[in-house]
Amino acid sequence: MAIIVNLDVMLAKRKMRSNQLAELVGMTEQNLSILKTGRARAIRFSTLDAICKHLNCQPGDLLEYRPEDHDAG
Amino acid sequence: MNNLHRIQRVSRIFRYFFLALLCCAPFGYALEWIFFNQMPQAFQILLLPIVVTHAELSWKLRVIGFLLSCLPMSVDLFCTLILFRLFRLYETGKIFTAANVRCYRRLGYALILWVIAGILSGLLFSGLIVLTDSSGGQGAVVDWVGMIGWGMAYLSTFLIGWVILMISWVMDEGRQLEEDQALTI
Repeated sequence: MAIIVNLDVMLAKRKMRSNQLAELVGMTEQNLSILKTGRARAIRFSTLDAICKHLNCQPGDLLEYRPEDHDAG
Repeated sequence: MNNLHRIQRVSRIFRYFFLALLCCAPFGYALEWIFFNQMPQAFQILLLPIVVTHAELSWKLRVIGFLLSCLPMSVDLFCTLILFRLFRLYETGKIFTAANVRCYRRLGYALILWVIAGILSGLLFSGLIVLTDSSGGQGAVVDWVGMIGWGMAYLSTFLIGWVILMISWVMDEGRQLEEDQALTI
């Protein structure tokens, strides 16, 4: 998928651990891991809202579109 | 969790059953052909989709008959192997995985292939009996009317094969939907 989740970067910037964010957002660490590793198929707005609130960032800080090689040009 | 344990327990029994069938079926086929002439017609028709009347089959014809029946028999064994694998998956708690879908799909194709193999072997053996009959019509005779019953069985099996293919397709779509749901955070 061409959507990259830069959650690790934001966690590092905010000096927060994954398990702390998971607890604040109200999700399991496994689900957060799915999001971090790019295996998620979709994200709910409510989840994005909660993550942005607790990391004090914009959705664009977390999500990046990087065209795949066959899509380029 | 109790439901899963029940599924696993029953699946283990079926898995052993299909394993036994896989091991014993070829010997069963061979024995049936060896004692073909002693068997009642109702059992003879189980081996090949023909009814042989008025005479006994020579040992040469029985050997050829066995070799020709290996066509549908090998598909039978392949179906049994698929079912063995399917119940092994159920036994390990895998109910709606991609591997299960593959089993159903292969089973569907195998049933359709069984119909083709059965018709082919039946036609070949029938032709052989007619060609080798050297007793002026007093030898082994193929009862073509009796083959109508087999025709209906083939049609049913063919339709069941297609239905299983449709079920496997729906199951795969459902599995993908479930996967999407599980990976929606």
